[in-house]
Amino acid sequence: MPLATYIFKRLIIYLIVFVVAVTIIWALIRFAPGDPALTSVLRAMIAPGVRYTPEQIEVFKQRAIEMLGLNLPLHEQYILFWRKLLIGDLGWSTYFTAPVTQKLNEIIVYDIILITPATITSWFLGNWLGSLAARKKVLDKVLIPIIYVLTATPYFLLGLLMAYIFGVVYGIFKPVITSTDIKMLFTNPSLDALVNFLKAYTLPFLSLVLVAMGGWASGMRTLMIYELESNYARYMESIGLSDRLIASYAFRYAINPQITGLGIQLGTVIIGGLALSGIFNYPGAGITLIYAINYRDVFLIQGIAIYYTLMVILANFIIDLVYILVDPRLRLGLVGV
Amino acid sequence: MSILLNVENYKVYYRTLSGYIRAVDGVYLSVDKGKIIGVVGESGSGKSTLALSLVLPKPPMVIKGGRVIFDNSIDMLNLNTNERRKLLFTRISIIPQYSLDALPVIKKIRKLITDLARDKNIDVEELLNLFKERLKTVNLPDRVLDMYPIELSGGMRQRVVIAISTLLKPDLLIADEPTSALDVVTQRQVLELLTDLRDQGIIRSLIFITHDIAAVRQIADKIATMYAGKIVEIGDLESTITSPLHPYTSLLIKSVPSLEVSYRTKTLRGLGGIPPSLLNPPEGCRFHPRCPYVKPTCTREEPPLVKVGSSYVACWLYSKR
Amino acid sequence: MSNLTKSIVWILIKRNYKFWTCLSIVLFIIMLALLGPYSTPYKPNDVVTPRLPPQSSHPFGTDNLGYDVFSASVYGLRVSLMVGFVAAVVATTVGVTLGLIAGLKGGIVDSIIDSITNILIAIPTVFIMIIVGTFYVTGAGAGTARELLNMIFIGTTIGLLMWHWTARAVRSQVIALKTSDYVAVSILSGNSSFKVLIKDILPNIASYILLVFVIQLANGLATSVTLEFLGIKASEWSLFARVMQWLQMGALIAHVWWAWLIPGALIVMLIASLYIIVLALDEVFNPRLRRI
Repeated sequence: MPLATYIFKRLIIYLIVFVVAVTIIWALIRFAPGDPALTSVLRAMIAPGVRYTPEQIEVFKQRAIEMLGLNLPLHEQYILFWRKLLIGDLGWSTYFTAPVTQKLNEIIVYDIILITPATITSWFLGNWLGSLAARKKVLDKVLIPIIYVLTATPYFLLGLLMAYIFGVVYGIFKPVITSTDIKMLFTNPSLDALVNFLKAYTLPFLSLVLVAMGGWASGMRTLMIYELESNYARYMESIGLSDRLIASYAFRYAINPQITGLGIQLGTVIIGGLALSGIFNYPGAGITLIYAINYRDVFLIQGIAIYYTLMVILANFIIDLVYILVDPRLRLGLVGV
Repeated sequence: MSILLNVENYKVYYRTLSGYIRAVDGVYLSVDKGKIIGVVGESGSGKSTLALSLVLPKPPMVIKGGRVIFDNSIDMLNLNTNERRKLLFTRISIIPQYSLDALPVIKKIRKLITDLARDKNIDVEELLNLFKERLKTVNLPDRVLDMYPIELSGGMRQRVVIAISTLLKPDLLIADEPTSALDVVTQRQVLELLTDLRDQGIIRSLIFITHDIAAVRQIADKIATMYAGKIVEIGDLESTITSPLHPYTSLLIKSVPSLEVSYRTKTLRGLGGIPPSLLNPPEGCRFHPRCPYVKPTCTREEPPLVKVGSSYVACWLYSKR
Repeated sequence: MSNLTKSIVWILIKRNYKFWTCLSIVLFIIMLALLGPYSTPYKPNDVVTPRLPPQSSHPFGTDNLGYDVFSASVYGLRVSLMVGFVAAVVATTVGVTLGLIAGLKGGIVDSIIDSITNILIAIPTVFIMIIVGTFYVTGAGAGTARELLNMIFIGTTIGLLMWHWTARAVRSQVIALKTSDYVAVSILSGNSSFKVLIKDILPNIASYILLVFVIQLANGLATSVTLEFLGIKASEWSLFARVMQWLQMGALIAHVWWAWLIPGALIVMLIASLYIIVLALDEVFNPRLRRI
């Protein structure tokens, strides 16, 4: 099918996915026991330390219900939700006392500059490492435990370890980060700002890369071993071609599933980002979520869920486009053949 | 007649969990320069192993002994990887059993040849031109160069492999069951091609491995019969076909139906029984459980390979005990 | 499997050192979780002297807040293991069932299941877990029925968000088997679809399902542990529930590394061992992956 149709089809699919995902998120929050949205708004209305009579609370409650549109029939609530969403209104964060969307716009930038380079780096490094383990049998014995321990380590744990060893014991990097550390480099660039940035950024970045690398490496290793046993590899070896050349052919075969895997892996990397943000206090969605959960800031939690789901879906779409560029068969319209 | 490859008491085993599979167990063979020798035998007789071990001896394949001398000077069993690599493709080449599958699918043929040239330190243009010439010999059009292997039919792919493997005019070409996956018409084409290549001097000598005695009859100068890891008979084509010495060879030949003779006139003599396990081969002559002429000696002692006329045969019918 | 195949498989497993090392590690940690609580006088919420390094009275030391790390570890392991196990069971059951149905029935049913799978793959399910964990789970005192309920609930949620790749994998295995010769023979000889399923297909994917289960267990554990850290815990005694507290109290700077490193090492070894067990079994069942 022609390229434009293919892209259009993917777009529709992603749209549907987005709608379904957002609906699930909305429904889960809307029907959560104890009406957390209502509670959250109520709490914000009530001044601390003041005693209210039950009638006054009732008034507040009615006002809150109206604000949230909870007095409307269900389907109208759903439509209202979408109307707000489409203009970018994700509600009000009680924790930050600011609109959710506004806060998230700031936070997403921090997350993107952490996650994107980390994903790309770990993909390249991981594939190289996996391929190495597949080609050198002697190294393989050592590499297997390393690779599998890396991929088995929860992100936050590695973050803790790095923070402790390099942040506290050796004091090279910062175990606790503030948003200024990151922001400074872009608002007020200077050598100092750069150094400070690196001191803050490196550990979460490394933690993200190392764990993700383990995952890519283990997959690539299996794929390469499989390819190196194939008939074309045997033939190439039988006509005396070098190991290096054979490996490059095998690599080219093995890398394909790894490319499609990028989109699928995004969900996992997000978790890593969340965890590391929590450990290092890196100003991303992770630490924000932890505070939001503690504070029961409903709209912040919902907002992060929706916002980041949208980002992931977008990223998947972009990867699809990149894949089209990379794989000539797709370009030539051989999709679905 | 000078000898290109001399094989003496060659042993190649497979190391497995249950022990050693003795695929090639003391083989004597010689390939003359400029001649085609057919190695015939049933599946599991060890003939593929014989060929592969010269080219790619990898675990679990283990060379357990013997001498293999190439061109009177090169000891094949004591080569290191680099030396072997230099030999391969230049002086010894192979058309594998899986040639329909042997080309990497994702690259155009041209890319493969280019990479091949660079890897072997040959001028790319030269090699491409050579390949185009070779394509003519194997009856393929030039445009094959710019195609992906998946775009070619099985027969075409095999011919591409033949073209590639014979690019540098190897002294010795090993063809491992080249006709087994093909229909009769294509078979003949391949056989003619191989003979052509030899006659044009593109290949000097050829080891043709097959279970199909009818195919080998068309092109071989010499026939060697293998059974259960051993050579049981070697002789030139005509005498082996018309008057086979070893009972196994004789049964093999008789089991090929001839087109003109109907079953009513002459029934097919088949070969009863199954090929022996190479893990625990029978005592004495390995063929004795299926041999119609078996004697008590056959069950106890292995017959040596002795000269009978212009052939060699390993059978107690021809040796004294 | 024929007897010869069984014995070859057994010999291969016997010689695979990775398999036995990792199996021992897994069994050891499970033992720790099962029997550990009986070997310590402390409960995870008994406050003793804080910040004691590992010593004879406290083999894993005590943490920043004064809790004994050994008891916290063994009780916490129980919780994490339970959640991970439930997640794996749910994911495998749902995934295998749907994968079988999709693979065998094909057609519309297959398309529907495929669409659901695609949706689950594309969305970051962690957020749904977080929402469910925050708003649908109430804190439970240790050792109560509520705690058990929580563990099952959280485990099921994780499982319900993990089954899709099992389903995909099983579906492709089933499709490959469906077109194989001996299934064709079975159908031709008059076996009903159900009988074909039980006699021909299931035995052949049984080993595959086992491997898938172990991987899901590892994934479930990793997820459950990360969720604990983020604040979604089944019980007060969850292994990493206190990490944020520690961090905010400067546990790192106080060098109380044993509090998080030891439980951390246990979890990592458990998960890594599970992965390597699957790798080893993969090598046994798939000759092309064997390194000789």
